[in-house]
Amino acid sequence: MGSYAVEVCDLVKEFDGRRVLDHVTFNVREGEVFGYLGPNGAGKTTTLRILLGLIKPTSGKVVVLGEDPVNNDELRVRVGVLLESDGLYDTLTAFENLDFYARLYGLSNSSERRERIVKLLKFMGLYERKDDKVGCFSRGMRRKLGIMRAIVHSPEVVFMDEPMSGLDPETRAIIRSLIVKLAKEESVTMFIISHDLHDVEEICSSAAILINGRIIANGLIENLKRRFGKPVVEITFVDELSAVKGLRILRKKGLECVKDRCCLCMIPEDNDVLGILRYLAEEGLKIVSVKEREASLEDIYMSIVKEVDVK
Amino acid sequence: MSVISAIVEKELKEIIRDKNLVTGLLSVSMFLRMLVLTSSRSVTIVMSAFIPYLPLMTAFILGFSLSGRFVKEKLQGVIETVLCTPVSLRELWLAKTMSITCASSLTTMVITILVIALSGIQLTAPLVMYLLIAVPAFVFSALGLLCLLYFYLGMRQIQAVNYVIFFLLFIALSIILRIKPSSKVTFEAGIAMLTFSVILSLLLNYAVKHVDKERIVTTIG
Repeated sequence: MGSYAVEVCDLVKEFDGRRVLDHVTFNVREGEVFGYLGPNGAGKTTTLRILLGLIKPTSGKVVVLGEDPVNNDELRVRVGVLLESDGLYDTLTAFENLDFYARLYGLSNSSERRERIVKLLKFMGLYERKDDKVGCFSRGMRRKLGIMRAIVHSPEVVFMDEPMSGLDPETRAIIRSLIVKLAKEESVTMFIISHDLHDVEEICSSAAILINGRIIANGLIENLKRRFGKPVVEITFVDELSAVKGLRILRKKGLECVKDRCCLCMIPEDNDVLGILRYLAEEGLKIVSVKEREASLEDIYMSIVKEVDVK
Repeated sequence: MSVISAIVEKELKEIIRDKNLVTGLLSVSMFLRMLVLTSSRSVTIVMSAFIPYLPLMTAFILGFSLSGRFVKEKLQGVIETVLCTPVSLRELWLAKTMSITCASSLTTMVITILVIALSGIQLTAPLVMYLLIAVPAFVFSALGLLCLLYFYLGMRQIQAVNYVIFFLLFIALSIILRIKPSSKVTFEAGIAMLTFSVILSLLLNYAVKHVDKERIVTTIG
């Protein structure tokens, strides 16, 4: 058990008799990038708050870096946090915000603090804006600064709630590379809550899917794909209008598909793919290409969510 | 101690930049104007009768106005991030109350000295002691209680508390003017106020250790 940075065992949380987390169990290895997924209201933030020692579990056990997170100030120094709110003060400058949190985390040497903050600001491309008040920053810039704030004290574990939300593609790439770099080079354990499954698939080595307070799937992403992933058929139409019509037709036939511009993705289950294509052609829809690919994390997530909804 | 000084420094920086103090001063002047309007006597007479209560009320109204920053921090969820740092609830409460008390007490002293100079009231030793020690101590305990309530209560409850405080202040001021109490400040009165404030502060210091972080987190927003 020593190689785990986060251990959650049989965790239950109830608010006024309403069960929000129902016997949740998972582990996160040291230096791993772990994705914690689930629809809104699944209980992800509650789990995070318990891991941070902000709320107490009704029953079950939570261990972070070998310690109980409740009322544990020493542990807090070793943990970095980016919550839904970026935790920044609008009237302070970017530098002052980072400096304030660095002081709270016990970095008492001002020159060391300055060096660390400047390094982070330069890495994130915000050095030129270091003396600007955060109140005039865009959502993306705030998020970037929030991430810097979370790692300013060089924590061993970082918990991030939607770190990529509101960021442009270029910044997302920077954040992704930062997360991977921290995990690989500095063995920082990254616990990421995200709705962006492409990002999670790209950076996380393992994940857990939480639905209605229960862990439905958990493990290495490769294993999840093997276990839950069914091949996906991707049909590209000549234009988006045809894709919309195709989506309507397939849904009428009871097939679940996802539309992305001119493309429809569906898991054919036991259906005859050729028959479906013939049917679409008979309806007058022009198909440009059809290909079968391996299920992505998003496909797996969607099929699991759908399965739970049906049950 | 360095954590407390970091928070106090940050709070004071924010108070100055946020122009909270200006809003607070506007509230004080509006409040005093309303008070004078309710009295048939001249402004100078009202002020001289009011001198023992002026610093107390001004400091509290200013502090009350500045404490809105605390609610904003809770509303925006910033407090949740701060609670994830190694800062204890007691340190956080102490630093915030201290910074608001400092800002409001210093401004109050300037206002009171100006009023005293303009009204020609003699500056006595009990009045100096009252101004420099008793009033800040009382304001610290009153704002400390308010901050503790803000920690503990949900947003709607906080709103209700704020309305109640506003009306209580207004009623208290009106009563003071109507019953025409002594306008002299005595050592005994100053010491009694200081004792009450110290006891209340100690009780609050004890109570804040027992506030549950879960309560704060679940009443955010």
